[in-house]
Amino acid sequence: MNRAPGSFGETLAAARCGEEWAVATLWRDLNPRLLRFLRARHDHSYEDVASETWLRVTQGLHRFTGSEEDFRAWFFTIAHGVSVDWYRRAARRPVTVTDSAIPDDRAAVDDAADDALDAIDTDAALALLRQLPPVQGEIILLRVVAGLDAEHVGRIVGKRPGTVRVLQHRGLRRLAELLGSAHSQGTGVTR
Amino acid sequence: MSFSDGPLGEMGTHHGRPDITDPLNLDDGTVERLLRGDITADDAPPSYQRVATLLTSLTVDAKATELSGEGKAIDAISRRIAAAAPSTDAGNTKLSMKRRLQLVGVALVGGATLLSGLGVAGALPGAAQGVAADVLGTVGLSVPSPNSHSNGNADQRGRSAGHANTDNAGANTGADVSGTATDPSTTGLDKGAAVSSDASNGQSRAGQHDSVGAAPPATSGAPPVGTPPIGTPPVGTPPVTDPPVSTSPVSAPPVPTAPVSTPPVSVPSHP
Repeated sequence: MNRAPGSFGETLAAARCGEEWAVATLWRDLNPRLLRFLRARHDHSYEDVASETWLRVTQGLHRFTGSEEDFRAWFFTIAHGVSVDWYRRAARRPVTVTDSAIPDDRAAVDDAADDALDAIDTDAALALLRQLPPVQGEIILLRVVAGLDAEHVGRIVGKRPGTVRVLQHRGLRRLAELLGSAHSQGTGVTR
Repeated sequence: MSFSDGPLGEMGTHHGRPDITDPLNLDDGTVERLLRGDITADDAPPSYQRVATLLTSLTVDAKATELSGEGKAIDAISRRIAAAAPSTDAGNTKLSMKRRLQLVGVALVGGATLLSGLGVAGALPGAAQGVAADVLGTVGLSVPSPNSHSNGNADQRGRSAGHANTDNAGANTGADVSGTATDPSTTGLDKGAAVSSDASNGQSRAGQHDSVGAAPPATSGAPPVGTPPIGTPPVGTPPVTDPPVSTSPVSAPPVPTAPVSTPPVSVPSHP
């Protein structure tokens, strides 16, 4: 942290050696993105998933080679994998469901949309993204939050770039519907 | 909407026929610009102005809550990276490469020295010894050839299997023995003796023993012409010695002649 960060290659090389300034540079850039990506996928466990993601990144950092975008794609590939693993482990754990634990989807959608309409901040936007089909929400998050192109996103979610483009299109359309833009225009939604 | 438009309205944009009546329709370029944040809410299509605002909110600067615990996190990550990194860092990697090259060089020099030493000592296999003699001879080293210790009796050492043995002209060949064996002028014991003599280069004494008891006379029941009698060495295989088949007590089975091997049960004692 005592040095000004140079190019990404220099930062990555220093981070591989455990240089704190380089690790800080990567952490400040990626941790907010990571938390936003995970908050749209997990309720209260996103911090645990983020910690596990960083742990795996530290284990594989010395093996990574590539550009800055490749690094971001590699980083979010790990995050995606940790998130999926977390859901698999959670699925094997028995859970007790009570009436209060059952969400009211309709109310959640309305609340998120209202919040987003009133004052769209990051939390409201993430809450609204959770109303999308999971794959559409994940693709939009990876495109916007992680800043990855359709090719990289396709590799992460296991879909072809063309499929990613179709799904991101549908996701944006669904967001527009949720936000009521079409309705406010007075033309109605076509489907 | 036709079948070619696909099951969803937005698929129409991928067929080049956007549905202009759909206010939520977007072309691919606008989708990309929205996702990359290249379009502000004011510039976005009317139906997507709030979507553009929402997407922009996802990329705002990090909040304090998202950077909380920075010091501890960075310290922990740095220590873990240092612990997880392989023992060779960038400097040691160069050293390792240099050392690897040194080891390869030492191995090559050692291997060449070993082969040269074996070649000078004449301890290599025949073909390799010949090659070593030729190669080292070009640099002035005197190395024995494969046949240098044969004292004029060189064998096939150092030669390929297909080469003719011109150095051993005095020895009988398989062709000579075969010719004798197929010679119709001799039969029976005489043929066997002639074949054995050819095969052993005149050293065999076959047929000089008691010929009366050794073989039956040549009659109509004699073996066919060209078939050596029993006891004759295989045609074309020059035996080192002529083994005295069935006459040597050493090769005879011990049961009929050796009383020691007779079980005591077979010799009952009579009162």
